[in-house]
Amino acid sequence: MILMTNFFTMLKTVRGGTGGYDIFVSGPVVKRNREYSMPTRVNEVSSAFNDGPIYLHPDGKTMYFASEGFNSMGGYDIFMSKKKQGIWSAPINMGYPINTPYDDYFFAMTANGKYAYIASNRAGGKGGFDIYKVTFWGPEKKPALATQDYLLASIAKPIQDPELAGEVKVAASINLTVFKGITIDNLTRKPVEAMIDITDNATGKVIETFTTNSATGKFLISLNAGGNYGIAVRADGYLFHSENFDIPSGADYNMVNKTIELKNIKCGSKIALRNVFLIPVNRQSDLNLILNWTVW
Amino acid sequence: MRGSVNTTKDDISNNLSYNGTKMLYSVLNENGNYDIYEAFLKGADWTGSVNFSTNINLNQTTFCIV
Repeated sequence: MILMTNFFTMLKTVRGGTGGYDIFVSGPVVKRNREYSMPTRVNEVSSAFNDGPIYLHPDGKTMYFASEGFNSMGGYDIFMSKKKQGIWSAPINMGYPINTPYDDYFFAMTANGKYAYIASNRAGGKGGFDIYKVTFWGPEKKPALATQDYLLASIAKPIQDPELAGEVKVAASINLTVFKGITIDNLTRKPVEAMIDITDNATGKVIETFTTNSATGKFLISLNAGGNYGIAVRADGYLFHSENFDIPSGADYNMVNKTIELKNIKCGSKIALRNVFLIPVNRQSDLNLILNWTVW
Repeated sequence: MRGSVNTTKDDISNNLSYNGTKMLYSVLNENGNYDIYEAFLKGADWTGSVNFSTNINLNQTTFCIV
């Protein structure tokens, strides 16, 4: 099973190495194209038994994977690992009731981290593997009532339905925004393959560089909320497009949808540069770079 | 899980849209292979399971790859 995120990271289970299937990672040799490097085993999450399948959260830093090894309580269990400074942490068993002595795997989570789905062949299902919904309640809450009130309430009105409510507010904030969009020709409305640079305007650093889908013009990345970003779009035969945008903070999860209309290059075409920062140009190479983006 | 997704056969999934309203999942068919289905979350129930066309569900095991 392979999982790819934004064409930037590939995680894969391959037989061999420490025993059974192991988890391998690969990244593009050059970010702008899709040529991937030779996969290397992620030793931190590879046990002496079968490891995988894998699920990489949209934040790109949290991996959920199934394994028969580590401290599994039986069969496959689901584990979590977080990447810090390029290194995956030691796996954490997700514990009961997500894991049981049966096989529990194929984890998938919503971007806001409130819900997840797993496949399990535990007792009580419809047969074979069934899909179960997991609701994360967040940090433990203090009871709103005193113990005596609880006792009285439980006697007066015993709980009949243990089913969880449909909407659950999780206290922990993830501050993740999914930024999705499409690059199209402004006249024909057809999709255009384009190269995009995303810059964090607070630091001035380019944080993402990628190419939109050649067939659909679509792209999708995840960004931290509460920032101001610049987007620069380039495509052969089209005017350079740039603008700034804010990702509001405060929400657990946002989705920003944007359509970028690219203008065909024609003599006399005009362009508005919306996120140009004036800096001293000391070198001829810098000047050439600016001139290359300018259509006279 | 509520809805019409789970069957008496193997049902597995690890493909979910970011907002959690669309799911791709695999179901064991009568030939012993897995077919890919698509389901949609309506309220609290997963409904509208659709088997992908034979262009995707070949006569062999097919799992979702993202």
